[in-house]
Amino acid sequence: MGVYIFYLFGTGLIATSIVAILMKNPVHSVLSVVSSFFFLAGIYAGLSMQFLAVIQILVYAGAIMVLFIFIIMLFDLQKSEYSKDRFLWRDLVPLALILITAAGFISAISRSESIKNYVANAKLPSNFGSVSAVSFEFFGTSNSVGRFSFLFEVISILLLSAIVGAVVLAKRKL
Amino acid sequence: MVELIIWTIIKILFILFFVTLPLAGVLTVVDRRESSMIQDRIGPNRANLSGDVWDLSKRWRFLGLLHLLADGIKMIFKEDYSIKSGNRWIHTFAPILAFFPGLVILSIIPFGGNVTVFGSSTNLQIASFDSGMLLAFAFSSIAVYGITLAGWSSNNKFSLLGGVRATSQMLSYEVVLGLTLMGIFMIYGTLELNTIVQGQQSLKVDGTPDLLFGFLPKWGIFLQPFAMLLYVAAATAETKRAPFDVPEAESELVSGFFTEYGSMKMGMFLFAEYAEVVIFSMIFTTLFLGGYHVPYLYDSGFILPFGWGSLSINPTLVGFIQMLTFLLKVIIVAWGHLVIRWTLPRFRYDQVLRLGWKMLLPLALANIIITAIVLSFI
Amino acid sequence: MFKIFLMSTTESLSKSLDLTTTYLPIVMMIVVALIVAFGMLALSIFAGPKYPSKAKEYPFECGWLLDSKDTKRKHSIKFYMVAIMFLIFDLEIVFMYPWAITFRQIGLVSLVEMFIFLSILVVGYIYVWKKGILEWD
Repeated sequence: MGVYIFYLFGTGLIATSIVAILMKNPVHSVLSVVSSFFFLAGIYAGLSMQFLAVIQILVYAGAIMVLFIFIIMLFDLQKSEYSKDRFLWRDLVPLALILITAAGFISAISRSESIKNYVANAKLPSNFGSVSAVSFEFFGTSNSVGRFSFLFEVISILLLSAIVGAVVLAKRKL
Repeated sequence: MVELIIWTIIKILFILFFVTLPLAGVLTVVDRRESSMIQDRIGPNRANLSGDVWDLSKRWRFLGLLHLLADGIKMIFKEDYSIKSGNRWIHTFAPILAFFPGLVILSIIPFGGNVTVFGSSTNLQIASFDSGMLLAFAFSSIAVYGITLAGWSSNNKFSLLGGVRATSQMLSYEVVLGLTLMGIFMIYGTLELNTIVQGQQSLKVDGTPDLLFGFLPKWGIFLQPFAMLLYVAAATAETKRAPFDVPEAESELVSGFFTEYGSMKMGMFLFAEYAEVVIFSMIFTTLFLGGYHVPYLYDSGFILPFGWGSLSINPTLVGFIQMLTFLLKVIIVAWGHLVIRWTLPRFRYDQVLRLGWKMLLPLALANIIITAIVLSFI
Repeated sequence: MFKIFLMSTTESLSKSLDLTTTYLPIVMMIVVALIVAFGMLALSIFAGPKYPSKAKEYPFECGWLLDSKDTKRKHSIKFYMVAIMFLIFDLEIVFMYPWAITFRQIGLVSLVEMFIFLSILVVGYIYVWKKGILEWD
């Protein structure tokens, strides 16, 4: 069951991503990327990571891409300013390189005995992927600090620097 | 598996075609009738079934409710023109993006307790989803696209300004919306709506009712009264209804982001607004008004406080009573929401954003901090 | 080879949760909602009459200019700032949901962690406020 969900959504993800590159109109590209995020959320859901799946839609599709759309609207691109890139045969060279590298990685991973053993012996907790499981990793349990507690605090500094950066962009001074 | 699919189809058909869409339709008429009553006018009352009867009092008018039908038919059979200058594809599909995400939220709302029909038992909730409320937030943030793209693709100054205004208003209030509900999530310890509803009125381990001060059910409205006020304000702004209807402010922007829309496409934007009102009422009922619970009615029957006695009722009957209670509560909340619209004057756009960012946001944060401190010392 | 690997990984992950009972109803709901939305759109496109005319093709404008050239003029940067601020605060809130639902189980540890997190962000909020980003004038 899980593997078919992966194939279904994976195909959709690749297709929409390719469409996003090929579209001339930036708004069409953004919409295509948004639908690719839905497919990605589907893959997450198929892997039982339902919190991540919802967050993928909530943050990426619902917030970040809205910002993209907003910027495109505010920049006011005319049709004459759309990308004029045309397909060239030499564009296939990097594509081929990427595909060969990816194939190498995939075959290396799938041949690796240690990964295979890890996968075979992997035991998932019964609440894997739920919101509370994520929470215990971040905030620990009643008598211990969680695995990612420190990283969680660092994220706030990252967000703070993002705030400062946005203000500097708008105001040109600190 | 088959049982699950059949139940799901029944539940979807019921909640969508027998509750949400009809209620949203009726609200469009009720909105106009209520405004006319508040403003001392007569309002729409002429649509009738009896044809050309001279005496008005003998026409079958059903309180003006037939205007719902008349409006629907009119919208469908109007000319569907489309502009040539904007982006036609996006212009055509934007109403769908604005309309469908709201309906998806219905899938996580519990609209009744556990019922057993023909030996098959089910919870009256389409999907029990662990991150339930997050799904609602996610899909309501998808609805922003419909509004933005409608404004952008119309190639019209009013539409674009309305779309930009609507987007930044909806984004601002999404932040507040999430923060206001945090207290509820903290108290009931889950994002799954059915669990929240059950947490609001439950029995203790020893079988006695779990009540506040011995008589109040532990509904969200009693535990988080302040969050409730903030939530009503934020949700009203999120649905873009007066007093927060600056994106489609008729006096400034013609009709905002859907200025360039006609026929049922415009109808979808209007209808989406009323469907959002219904869904807002459902979520409000679920989180703050005990969902489908009747006060003091538990799975096995009534257990009154202060030891005033108890009455046992058939569990399936309880399930149906709870379903009707939920619908009644939703209708009352939706009606109250319409009253808000017609009794408060519109904010200016800067006031809307200032209210969101400078008042509701700090207040919601303060509410979370106070709730956290209180909860950790109880 | 790869398929077997993929099968074993995905199956071991998807086993921990019964996929059908959770997601199938939601997927059905999405499908039904889309059918309703497309149905309404199709009704409006096919049911109505078509009387095309030159005047209907122009965007609506008060008064005299039929073909306005500058419909997509530049907008205030304030709108853009609101979107960025939304993004940052939305990310902050996303971290608060897991905290909120396990708060009563974890207790004081998570309270302290969240207070540190929030106080750093409140500094940012005050900074934005003082810089006048939230002003709209």
